[in-house]
Amino acid sequence: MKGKIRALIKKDVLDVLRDPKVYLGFLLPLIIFAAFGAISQATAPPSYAPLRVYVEGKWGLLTSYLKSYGINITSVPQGADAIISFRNASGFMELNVTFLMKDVNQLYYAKAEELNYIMDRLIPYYRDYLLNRSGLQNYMIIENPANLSFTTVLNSAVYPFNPLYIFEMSQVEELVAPTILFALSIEVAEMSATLITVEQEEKTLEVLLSMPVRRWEILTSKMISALIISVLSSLFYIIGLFVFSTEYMAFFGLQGYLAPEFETSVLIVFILLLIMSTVFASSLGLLVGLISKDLRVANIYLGIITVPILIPTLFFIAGGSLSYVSGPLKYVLLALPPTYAIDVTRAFITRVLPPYWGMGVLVSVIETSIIIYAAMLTISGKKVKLPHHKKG
Amino acid sequence: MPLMVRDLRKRFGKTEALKGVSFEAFEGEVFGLLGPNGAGKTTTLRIISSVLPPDSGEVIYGGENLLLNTNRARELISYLPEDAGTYRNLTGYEHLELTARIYAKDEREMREFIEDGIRLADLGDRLFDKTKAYSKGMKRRLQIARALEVSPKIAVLDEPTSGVDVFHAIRIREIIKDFAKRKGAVVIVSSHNMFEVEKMCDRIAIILERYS
Repeated sequence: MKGKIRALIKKDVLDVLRDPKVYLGFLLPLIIFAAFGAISQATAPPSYAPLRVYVEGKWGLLTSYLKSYGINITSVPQGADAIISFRNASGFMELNVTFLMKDVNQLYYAKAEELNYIMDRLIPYYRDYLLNRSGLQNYMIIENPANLSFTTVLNSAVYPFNPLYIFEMSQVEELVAPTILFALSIEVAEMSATLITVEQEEKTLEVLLSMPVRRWEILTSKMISALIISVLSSLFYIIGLFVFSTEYMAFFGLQGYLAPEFETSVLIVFILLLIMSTVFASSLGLLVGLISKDLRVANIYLGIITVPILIPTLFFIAGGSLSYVSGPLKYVLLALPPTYAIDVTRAFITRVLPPYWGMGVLVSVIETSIIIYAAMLTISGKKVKLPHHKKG
Repeated sequence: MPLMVRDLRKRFGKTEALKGVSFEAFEGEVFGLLGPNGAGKTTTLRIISSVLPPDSGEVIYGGENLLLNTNRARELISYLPEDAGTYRNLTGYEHLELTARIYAKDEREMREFIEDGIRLADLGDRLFDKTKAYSKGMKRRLQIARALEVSPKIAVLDEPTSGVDVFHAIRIREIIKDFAKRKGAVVIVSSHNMFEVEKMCDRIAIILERYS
């Protein structure tokens, strides 16, 4: 019994390990860990984010309080990160903090955190001041003496709530969008590779090649089939993301503020970049299918091509922003079409297209064209795998 | 108009697979290519069907060397590999339709091809089932129908009854013989089964020398 099992194990292990391509798959974790390490380093939040505040009107207590925290109080609202306004309405103080954002990234997050920290401590500070000064006992005044409210201005959008809400929402978006895009890209690449390898596995390729169909016609049909599958998958992705966003906003009671009010231009660019990214993954899959003699080899190569899709996924999940990344990692990210499709999802919240989206179109077109050209060369040359070795 | 195969040679690495295969096959006859496993039958048929390029040799039909015009060869020849598979999630009818669409010059011809294919496959209502539900014999009948429905001038069939039961084999042999006579086509079949060759073929050639 033992001997039989040992023989069967030996057969399986040798069959796999004698294929040198398997070792490419073994190298994959090394590449991924190295990439993740570089990404973690690059996405570390800024250690210091100087906050500039403009105070409308004169209120010595407030300005001295802010100065005690080292806040830079500007004399004009231009360039300020936050505007604090107050008014005394029928004996009650009404204090509003308007936070001004241009993007949803770590820099603004650090500033929003600092602002919240300071404003949280202002309330007990002001309450103690009121009690010490006049011995007021009004419960309302003591509980929330400044009637503090927040407004967040994010580019053209005005939200009547704390900026930290936006970061909470974007954190989920940053996790969900890249993860699903990653799954979609891998699925599409695998389906495209399968379109070719299945012809070899099911032994239908030989018949196909004997028919009066040119090889470029076969590749074109495969590419269009893969494209149809890619677009179909992308549409489901878009619908899913929309349903998720709507439900997510409803969970916070914020229907109508964010996802349901997509900027048309953002939506169009997002769909464009998503489809281009998916077509990129699909063309990679086709090439893999062409250079693989069977599904096992195709799976090894598919493992390798997850890397260019995984790098932007990890980067955005780690909270990275293209605006604040530098060095080789930035060039790697800018060279990968999925980067742009993920980056633009943030524009659903910021309502402003990211600066790199045009480059995304260019990069996707160039790289996909190169891969398609390589696939054309492969199918028209000696690389088409036929069971030539079979002697009969 | 005969199909003339002259001095086909093919080498795979250090192995010489074909050492000058020559024969002639005529219209309206079933020509059998016999030989033991590894003799070079499949390699010969692949070269004739322009799926595999030879190192040297000629395949002449109508005064033209088909090896120099593979597009023309693919229009004239319908090839059935020994282990040809089917698209699992397509129905038998869809297989016949796909082939008809590729070979037909117009819609009318395509409909004729499909009608012929349905008759040749003789699968009844099962023709509209996905082929993953077919038995091996049914798949082979579908493959034969697919190869012959387009009325090729030359039909190249590698072990056409391979792996099918005796009842299916008898039916397939009848279909092939009838096709050659009725359409006046050149039909080349390979086999290692002498009984089958005797029942089906008008003339034969034997490749004796093994290379493996």
